[in-house]
Amino acid sequence: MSIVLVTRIFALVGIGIGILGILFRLGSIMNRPFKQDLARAQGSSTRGVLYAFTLGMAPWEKESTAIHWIAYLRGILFHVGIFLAAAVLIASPWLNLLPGWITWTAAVITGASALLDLAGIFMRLRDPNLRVLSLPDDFAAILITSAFTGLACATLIWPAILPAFYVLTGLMAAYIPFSKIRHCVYFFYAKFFFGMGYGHRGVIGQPEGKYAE
Amino acid sequence: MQTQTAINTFIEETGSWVASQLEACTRCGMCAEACHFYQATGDPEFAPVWKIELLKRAYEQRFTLTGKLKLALGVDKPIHDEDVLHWSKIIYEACTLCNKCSMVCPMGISLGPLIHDVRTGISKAGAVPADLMAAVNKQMEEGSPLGVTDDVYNDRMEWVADEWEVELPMDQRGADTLVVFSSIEIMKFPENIAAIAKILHKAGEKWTLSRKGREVVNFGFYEGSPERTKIIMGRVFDAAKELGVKKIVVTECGHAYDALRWTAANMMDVPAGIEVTHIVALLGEYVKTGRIKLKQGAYNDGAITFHDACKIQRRGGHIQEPRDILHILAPDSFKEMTPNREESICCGGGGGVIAIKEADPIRYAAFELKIDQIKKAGAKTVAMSCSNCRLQFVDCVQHFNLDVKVAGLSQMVADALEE
Repeated sequence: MSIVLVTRIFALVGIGIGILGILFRLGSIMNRPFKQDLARAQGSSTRGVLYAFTLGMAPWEKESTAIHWIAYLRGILFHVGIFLAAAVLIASPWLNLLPGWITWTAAVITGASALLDLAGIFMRLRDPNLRVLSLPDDFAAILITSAFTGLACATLIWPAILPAFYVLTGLMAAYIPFSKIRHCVYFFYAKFFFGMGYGHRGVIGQPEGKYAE
Repeated sequence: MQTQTAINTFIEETGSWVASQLEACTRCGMCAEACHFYQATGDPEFAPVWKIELLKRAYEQRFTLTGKLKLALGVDKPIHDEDVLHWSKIIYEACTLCNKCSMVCPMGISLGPLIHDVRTGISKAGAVPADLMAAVNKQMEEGSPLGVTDDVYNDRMEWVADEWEVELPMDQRGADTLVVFSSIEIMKFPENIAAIAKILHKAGEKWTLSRKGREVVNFGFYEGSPERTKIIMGRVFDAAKELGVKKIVVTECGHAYDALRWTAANMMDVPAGIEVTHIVALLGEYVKTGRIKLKQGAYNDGAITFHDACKIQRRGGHIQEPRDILHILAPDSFKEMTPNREESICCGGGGGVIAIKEADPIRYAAFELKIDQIKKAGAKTVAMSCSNCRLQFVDCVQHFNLDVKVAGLSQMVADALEE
């Protein structure tokens, strides 16, 4: 068996563990009782949810993103890099078929993403508030995700790195259910509930100038 | 101290909604900067994510493999008595449950309700700050935290009726609307009662007050005790049922509005066919439908701004009504503070904080953010629709010796009614 095949299997096993872990965790949460909001609606939950997943994330909509636009931009860019690295992983058996400009564009984005992600460690260490709030998992999650995007970038430039990318993928995927990287799943839940709750109350996503009731 | 009761409560409170919120947190720290107590003091313990630490710890140690593992390896600590006492100070004295943190959270985690769950656990453990608990007990025993007993209520209402020459219908069966004031209005801002009565009469509302349901404030809700919250809300609902009204109007009290309007239906049987609304919603409707007419530009003689209350605007959705009213009353002089609306900065006195003497230094410190906002808006008058905010403003204006007038929105509307 070639090293590429062995490491690919390793990656797949890691991904399997990650998916099972997330499903197990999700299952135990979904089994907990859910309290439906029985208060009479004042606005549209649907509009609230739509707003939460679209305009609500726009930088001009939130005071916090307007103030911390560098942190916001960093967050957007490194997440784009992570998704792109995942695309590189899926396309990994056929990378040599990609046109050069796509390969190089993806390499630049994933490389920049790795650096921006890594900058999170310095941000956590520099900011006294973040330093106190940070747990070892915060640093481990940054290290492993920036290694993931960094290795995706390296694989695009030097295809011989691919086995290392697979090994790292397997390790990261298996680590997801135990780390804060699992927010990639729960983000959708929290955002959905946010939109639903505040839409229900007529606070967000309602037509301009409309009364809540 | 019943720490195990607190832990059991945290676990009971952690349904799928709470769990998914806890799982989504990335500890990015954005919520800290949204918290006025953190901003005012720089104390990382006031970061909202830290305020929910006990709930999170109980959840992880009970429901997750990593939490169990961390506990077994000694990486994480079980919850002890001293933790409950420590967090009691943080979540009662340095949190108004204003929920601004949820507005800035990139994940959209509703931290306010989670902190309220922490209060519930700590309340069950019997670790509520003494001042707040004294007010809760007073409300349970006398019906009001500020001593508005039956006799005091009767005397005050008679006095208001005489002093401002308004009719205050009492226990009128067949009325459409039950109006319930807060004891802050009854004892500290009685002019609000007269103002609201004047508006309701002008609008031709068929309304009544009730001796039985005379107090809208809910200190059980501040405390986080579901049992006491229900008992106190039950007094208002029972009165409404007995009088046969169709609507309960909560006057200028934010927390009471949150409890009766949004929480009641989720924790008790609310009588069918009775709608709960806030006075600011009613004012907005009266103006919009022409039931009352206001003098255009009645307050155009000095810059005026509006303070958005956490429970009425941010969590209640009544953001547009006060602005529509102020655009009539002060079309040239109304200026917004920044940030405003659902991102407004809390006054620092809500959530029962103003009732806790030990919280005074950070309560005043938090208000300095508001002072900065008012100054930047160049406002000489600050209007608001919550009497708890108003109490905090009046106290802080005196404390900081500010040249700012504090005004209740209902009072402004009443004074600007067209004959």
